[in-house]
Amino acid sequence: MATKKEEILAQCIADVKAERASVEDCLAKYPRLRKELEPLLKIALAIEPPPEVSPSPTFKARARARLLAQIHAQRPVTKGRRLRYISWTPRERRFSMVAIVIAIIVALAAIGGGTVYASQDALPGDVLYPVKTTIEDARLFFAFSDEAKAGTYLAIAGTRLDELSRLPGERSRFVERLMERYRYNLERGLDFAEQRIEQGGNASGLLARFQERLAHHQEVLQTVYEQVPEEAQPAIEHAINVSGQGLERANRLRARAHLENAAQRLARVSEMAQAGRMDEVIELLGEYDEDLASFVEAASETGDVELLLELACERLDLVFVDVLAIVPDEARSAIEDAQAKTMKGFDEATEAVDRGQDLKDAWQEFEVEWEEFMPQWEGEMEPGSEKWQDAWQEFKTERGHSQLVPTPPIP
Amino acid sequence: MEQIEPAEIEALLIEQAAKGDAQSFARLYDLNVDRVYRHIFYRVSDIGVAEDLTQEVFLKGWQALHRYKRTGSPFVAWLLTIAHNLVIDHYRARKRETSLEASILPSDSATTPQQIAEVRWEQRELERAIMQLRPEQQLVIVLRFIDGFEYSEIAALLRKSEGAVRVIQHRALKELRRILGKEIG
Repeated sequence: MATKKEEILAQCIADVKAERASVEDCLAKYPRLRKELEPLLKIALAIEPPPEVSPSPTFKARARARLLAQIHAQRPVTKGRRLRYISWTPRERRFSMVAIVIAIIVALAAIGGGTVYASQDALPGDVLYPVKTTIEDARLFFAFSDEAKAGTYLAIAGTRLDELSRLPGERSRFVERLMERYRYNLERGLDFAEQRIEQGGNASGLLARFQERLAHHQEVLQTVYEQVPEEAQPAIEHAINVSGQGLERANRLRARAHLENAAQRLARVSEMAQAGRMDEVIELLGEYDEDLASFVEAASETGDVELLLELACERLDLVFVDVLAIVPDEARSAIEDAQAKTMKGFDEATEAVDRGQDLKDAWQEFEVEWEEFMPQWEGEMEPGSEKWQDAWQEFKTERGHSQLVPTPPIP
Repeated sequence: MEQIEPAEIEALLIEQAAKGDAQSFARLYDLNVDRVYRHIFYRVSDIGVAEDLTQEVFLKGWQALHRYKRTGSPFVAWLLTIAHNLVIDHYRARKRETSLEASILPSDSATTPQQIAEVRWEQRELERAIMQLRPEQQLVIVLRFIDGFEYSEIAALLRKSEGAVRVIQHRALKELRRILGKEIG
């Protein structure tokens, strides 16, 4: 929930735009806020929509035709994601769910368990290879959660690499297709991991597995690159790039997963505070600290550190705004403490990264400094005591912290 | 005869498109392409780039349609968030903050060449400043002031409370003030 001045600003903008009031009317209504409101109001009112700009009819028609052509060429994975590409060839054929199930049942009945087992070592070009890929489709079909799907796609991507490493030289014509299937399965796996994060699930463990496997894939591909004939090397190079990009994406997603864990933890802090369960509030805030440290560690492994810090700052700041709007007074100080630490920490971490310092090191240094200044909730100082307030003031003065939390914490 | 509301038609088209009906999605394209293009053009000020990104928005929209949930935000607002991400990617790829050299036409209220020049200058300064905001602040400012969405619609789209959207707006305006003050100073 916004504080009063943010609501007032929004209301003034709406009133002036709707010509229900003039700027002067609004300022006269809130004389104490005049100094802050006036420039913000003027800027807001100066932002004008551009004059009507329309795309040319030729562009619209051309783009429409191209869109339809692309849709037909690349049918999407539709709602519910139950339709699967089950052919292993690049020209993917779609089967309906029913067709997949029937195909699997018929296939299993016809070939028997021994054949299924024997097919596990099959390579492209072997008679049993289609059996192997059909079994994989069955595994995907019966993987119901996003996490299970992500894990299954990752495993299948690994299988394609394993096949590549065992592929005899005379079958090098399959290299490119295997690499294409590797890319496809890897990306689909990461799509499902991302979807799990977006839907509020905990994906940090899953993404740690992606990181570990992708690091292994890079090693395997490097070895294979040195063994394959020259004409197959470009495909392997491409796969090394794909794997590297996948690893970078997994790193970013893992950082996001930790960030979401932190945000959800804060939401639970709010629930516990409202229920008056202060012990659990303190415990959750401790876990929140660990989430932050995990986020920082994961973010430091990406090439997008600053962007992730910015994202985290905005995401968590808004959660704090909502949490602080409803928590009872007895929990307010502890939560403001966590808010101040988060915001100050991210600010300092960003500056440290700008200076070229390692993010993890910078965060650890900040934590040490914070601990030196800040009273501990379960420590010697009584929250709200004179000593405690002095510590706050000292920290704010020495660290330029006063802009982060406008009012001292209320114990 | 009972009149079907445009929102109902859109909901039906979305439902059909989500089931894989390309023609329904093409109708959604017809209904929304102008606004998507306008939003992108405002931010990139280049016809060619705006056309390329507009096409990409709809293709990505089609591919991600299963993720669109009717949370109270209009379908076009969802498309505009895709546009927002593509614009950011575009600038990141170009490794520069903004290009607003192509002309944005002056407002209707300016009539003399001098007035036109002044309005253009002010708008360009503001546009440049908006492009320097954090991505989420940019999105809120553009959706609110350029595309004219309500707080409730932006809140639904960003999955935040209306209060949080007003907080972002307030911070964004303060940041704009700081940027503009620095540039003028």
